[in-house]
Amino acid sequence: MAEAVATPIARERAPAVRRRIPWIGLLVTIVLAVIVVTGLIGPSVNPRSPTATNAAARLKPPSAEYPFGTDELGRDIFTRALYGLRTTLFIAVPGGLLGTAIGTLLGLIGGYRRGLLDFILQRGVELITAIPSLVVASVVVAVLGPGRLQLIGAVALSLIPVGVRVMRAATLRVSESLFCEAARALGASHWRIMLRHVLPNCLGPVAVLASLNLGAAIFVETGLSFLGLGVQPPNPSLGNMLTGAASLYFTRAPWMVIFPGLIVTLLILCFNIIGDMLADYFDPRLRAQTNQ
Amino acid sequence: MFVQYLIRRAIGGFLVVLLATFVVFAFIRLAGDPAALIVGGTGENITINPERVAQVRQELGLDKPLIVQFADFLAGLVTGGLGNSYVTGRPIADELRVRLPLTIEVAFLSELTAWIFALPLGLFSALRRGRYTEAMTRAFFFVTSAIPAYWLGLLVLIFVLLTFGWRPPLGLVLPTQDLWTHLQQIALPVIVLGFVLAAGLVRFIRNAVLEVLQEPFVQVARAKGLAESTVVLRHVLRNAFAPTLAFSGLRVGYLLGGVVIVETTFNLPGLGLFFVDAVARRDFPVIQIAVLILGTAFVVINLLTDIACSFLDPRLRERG
Repeated sequence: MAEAVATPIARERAPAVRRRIPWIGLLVTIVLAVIVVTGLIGPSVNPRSPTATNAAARLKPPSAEYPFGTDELGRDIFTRALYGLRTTLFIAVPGGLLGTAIGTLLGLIGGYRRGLLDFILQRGVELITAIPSLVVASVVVAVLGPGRLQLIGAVALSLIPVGVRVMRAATLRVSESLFCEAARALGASHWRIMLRHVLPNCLGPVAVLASLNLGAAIFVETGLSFLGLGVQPPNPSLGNMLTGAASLYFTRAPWMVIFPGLIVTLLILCFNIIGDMLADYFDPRLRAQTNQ
Repeated sequence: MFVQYLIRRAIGGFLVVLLATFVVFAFIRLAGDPAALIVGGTGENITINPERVAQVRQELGLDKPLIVQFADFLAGLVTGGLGNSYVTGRPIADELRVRLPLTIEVAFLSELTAWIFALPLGLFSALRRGRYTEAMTRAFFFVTSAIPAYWLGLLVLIFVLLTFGWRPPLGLVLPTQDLWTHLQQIALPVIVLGFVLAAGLVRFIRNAVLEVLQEPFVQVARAKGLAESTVVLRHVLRNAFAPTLAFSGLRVGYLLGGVVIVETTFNLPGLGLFFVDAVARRDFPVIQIAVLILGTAFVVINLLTDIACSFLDPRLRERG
């Protein structure tokens, strides 16, 4: 069965799939792993507090004692960035994965069943697409408040349309295949065909989507926090470290905004590059569809 | 045929926007009581006088059925009465009269800047096809698409201040009052957003041009002895233009989201900042109107790009 499932896709694959230099992928994966691990265990290892103020050390430039400098209240920016990174990851990663999972599932059902359900799903997708994702997430936060669970939901909701669109296209292609017809002829249920035959053959697009969505989730979360709608001060988040007092002092103390933003950029960069490499690996033609 | 197709699209798009507004409208009213919010504020342990809440609810018509409230809201849109802000009590229409032109200006100029960045870059990297231009376009795309607009905005502000000792003049000046000061104020946001938008555009233009270059008519144009510049400008670019236009139409959401961000970063009092402030203070009428405007902009701009594309590429008029 497994061979029969794999053949039609394998035949379509272009010959020059693995032409990329692997060291970039390796480098990116290592950088990403270092950032994520630092974010996860850093706060517990670092003895400093992210909210402890120190009037004697206000707006100090980066030094051996304060690697990223200090802010207007003498708080250590490195420590704040560690905690902020953890907060961002704890919201963006579940949000990104949830959005991808829901989008994938809806796209799978819509693309497979077609008909009225598909029509309604498509209109729902249009509805969310017509409004900027950051605005969609903001509206959710406005109504439900800026708690962690609400933020995860807001991030997920803003990512659902992309997932539906990508997965629906992939499902439409795969469900035409002979092996799906064969499974249907053998009397397999719709759910069995969807989950055992269609979904495994769409793993490429889903992997690409998940990676790009994680980058997008980080963008939405930090964006919300930057706008003052996400994680609320004094709790640090990579986004809210760039607003409030930072917007008054950043010209005197550029390190207040340079380092948190750099971490955000690196994170998004890593996810985007990995997504692109996955797209190349699974199907070079996919890149045009998922990447903008 | 094509006109019918456009009309169908327009009606469909309009219905989607109406539905989106209704969803936001219902969502707000089902998730909490706006009247209690107005009386009590957003604090946790504030004692709320139930009579006052009931009074406010009646004043704002929040005691009517949802559908009636929505019909009132739509009737208000038609007559131009957009309602008042919960927070300031001022008519929203007055605010929009000042804010909307600024946002449209920033959005338009940013998109223009993005095209000015992207067109030569994308064209160049497609015509000089090879390992290096490919690597360069890729690197450009990845780096620019990973930098969040708000961070880039702050970096540019820092850079400009430290190098030239210059910062944009504070307090918005209208172009009718002092055009030069106004331009100084919106220059940086426009450049930042244009640069961020250029990321995807360069890549799309490159791919579109590469695709057109493979068409037989390009070979014909070359074979009949046209100058290479004529081939590129008259034949390749014109045909690559239509899909690129459609692409940027679909990315209008991205543009508008970016406008919200740069307006906040550079403190420009446009629709974006209005919306962000409204969300922070849970000023629901403003949020509703903002969503409606953003959604309508998306639908209208996509219709316009559709029409523009059909003029650039008559083959597109066949569909429908």
